Amino acid sequence: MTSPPSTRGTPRHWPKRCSRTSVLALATGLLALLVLTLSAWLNGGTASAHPGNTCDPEPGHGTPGCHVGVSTTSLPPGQAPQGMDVVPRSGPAVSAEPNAVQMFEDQNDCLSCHGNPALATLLTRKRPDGSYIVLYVDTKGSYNSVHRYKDCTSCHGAQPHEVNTPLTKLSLSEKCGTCHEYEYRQHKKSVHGVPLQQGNTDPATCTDCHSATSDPHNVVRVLDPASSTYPKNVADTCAKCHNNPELMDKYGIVEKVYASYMRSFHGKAIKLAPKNSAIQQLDTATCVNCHGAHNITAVNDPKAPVAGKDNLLNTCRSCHRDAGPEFVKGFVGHKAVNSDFLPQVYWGGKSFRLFSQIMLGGGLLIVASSISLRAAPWITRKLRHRRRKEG
Amino acid sequence: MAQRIVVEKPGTRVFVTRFDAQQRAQHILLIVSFFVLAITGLPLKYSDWGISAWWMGVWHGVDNVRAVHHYAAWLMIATCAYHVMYVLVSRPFSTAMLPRVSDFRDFVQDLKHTFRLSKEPPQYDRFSYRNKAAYWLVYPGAAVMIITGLILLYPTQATTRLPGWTLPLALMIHSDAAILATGWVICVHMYFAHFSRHSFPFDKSVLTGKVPLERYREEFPREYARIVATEKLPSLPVGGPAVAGPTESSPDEQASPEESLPGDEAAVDEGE
Repeated sequence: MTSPPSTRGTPRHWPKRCSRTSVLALATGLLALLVLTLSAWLNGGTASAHPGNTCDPEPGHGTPGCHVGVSTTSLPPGQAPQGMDVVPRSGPAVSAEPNAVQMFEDQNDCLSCHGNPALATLLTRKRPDGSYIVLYVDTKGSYNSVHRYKDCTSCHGAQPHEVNTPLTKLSLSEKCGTCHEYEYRQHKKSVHGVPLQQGNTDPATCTDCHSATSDPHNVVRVLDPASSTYPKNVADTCAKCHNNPELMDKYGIVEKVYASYMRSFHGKAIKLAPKNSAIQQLDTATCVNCHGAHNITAVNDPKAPVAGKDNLLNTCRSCHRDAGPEFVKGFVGHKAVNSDFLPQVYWGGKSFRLFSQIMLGGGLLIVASSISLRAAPWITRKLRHRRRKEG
Repeated sequence: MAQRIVVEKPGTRVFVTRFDAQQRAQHILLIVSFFVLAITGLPLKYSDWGISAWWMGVWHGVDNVRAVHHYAAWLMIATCAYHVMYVLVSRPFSTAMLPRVSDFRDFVQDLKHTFRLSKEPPQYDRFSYRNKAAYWLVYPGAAVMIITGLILLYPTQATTRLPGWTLPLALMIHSDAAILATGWVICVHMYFAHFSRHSFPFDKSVLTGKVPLERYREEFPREYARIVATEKLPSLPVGGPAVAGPTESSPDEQASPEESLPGDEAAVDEGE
């Protein structure tokens, strides 16, 4: 209590009298609450995270205790199913979260092996080219996967261990296309899809855009705010490749597309939108609104929505309904103005910049000279005056 | 303006009316709209600064910030229109703000005085050359900001009449002129309006419309002399608080206005 002693015991300060009791009661209450919370956290914390869990995995055994009635090969640790050369792989320590599998449709209990974090470093397969296929499925990282209620065999086939050619970046879109036919047909003809079929692994396939980690198990619903295809994240998703100088050099894309987009009002509106923006707040053009998504074309393709003033006008008009031909003529896009491209803007902007710099510099010079020649001597004189008066 | 000298609480302080109610209202409206435009426009220019993202979050999104920017822009347009109408309509038509040859002379004298070539500070009339410069700079500044701003606000309509390149040019000029205006107001206007030996640290005359008589004699001696010549000064005790003003002054400075003619005071204060 910090009340001054002079007020103690005066009848006017009646709340002080009972405040000691109330503080005691409050402290007791708080302590009780703290104890309750602590005990609840200690007792129920782990249990409540996995309701209904009764069987724990046997420690040191490859197969967890939960079986759905399908006999799976139970293997001692370190031993892989037949036909697989297992390569030990050092990876980051994974926290054991064996029961996360219950979030997924898993009729054949694949995740009892492939979803066991304890086996994450073991379930790895070497490709002929020396790279590794990670056979571990990170269920924790894929908790919001849009396909989590599809059984593994929908994509991996009825005999997933018997495949001759595992899914690769080149064959992936075909697999996705068995359901997503329209998107597959569009992608196949797109600037990304054509080189992929010719064996070039650089262009984006389905998962490169639809998963933040290019992981087929982690494909998220298109308009999930956390997805890489949500309007707020589209530019960053494209930037994975299109802001990579080496890759862009290789394909002769000279424009700094990401930086120039972020300088444009479209990019600023997306960037400055709050993190938890609703989709209505993000009604600003991202990459795909102008360039297309599954059917994306090279900008110099005559069919591209941004090729030529006519196509560009139609594209602009999808949002700016009453845009006219002059609106498009003044569009800078990803380019930078120079003495050849929009010279009026280049020279006009340059001269105004120079003018405003001279103005502001002149103003600051006047202020600086006034401070040093007038204000500073005046202040010292005043101070000297005051000191003389005091002293 | 009829009676310029006003006495607040008879026998205490004497003021000179410098701005009437409408002029004060115009300046306050200009301050409010300018400030709101700056705080809602600059985060867009510097969108990659962390503080901009935070600030947009405070306003719940860039759309709200843009809406407020547009409202403030209309307020500033209305204020400018109001001021122009006020100047044109008010009688007698005021010519006090028009630049004159004496302003150039005052400027040269001020330069000489600043560089210690002359002990005599310039003797200002109703508005100093600085006041006039500050006033007339607003016209081109507001015109540039309003025209480019309207082009950016109605880009599709603007390009039905204007060539397309005006859009990116308007964006560049709007953004550069915003920096110029903000920097000018913060550094130059604030310095010369408030960091003056007459009114430091804050000159509230544009809000109250009144300037103490004592200060008016120092700051605008030529107009002071004219006012004193046409209007009767209220009879006050010599050396009393009314004429001495709120600032601390040495006893020899506490002279009645009749004794110390315009300019004397300033010369004493500055010419040490």
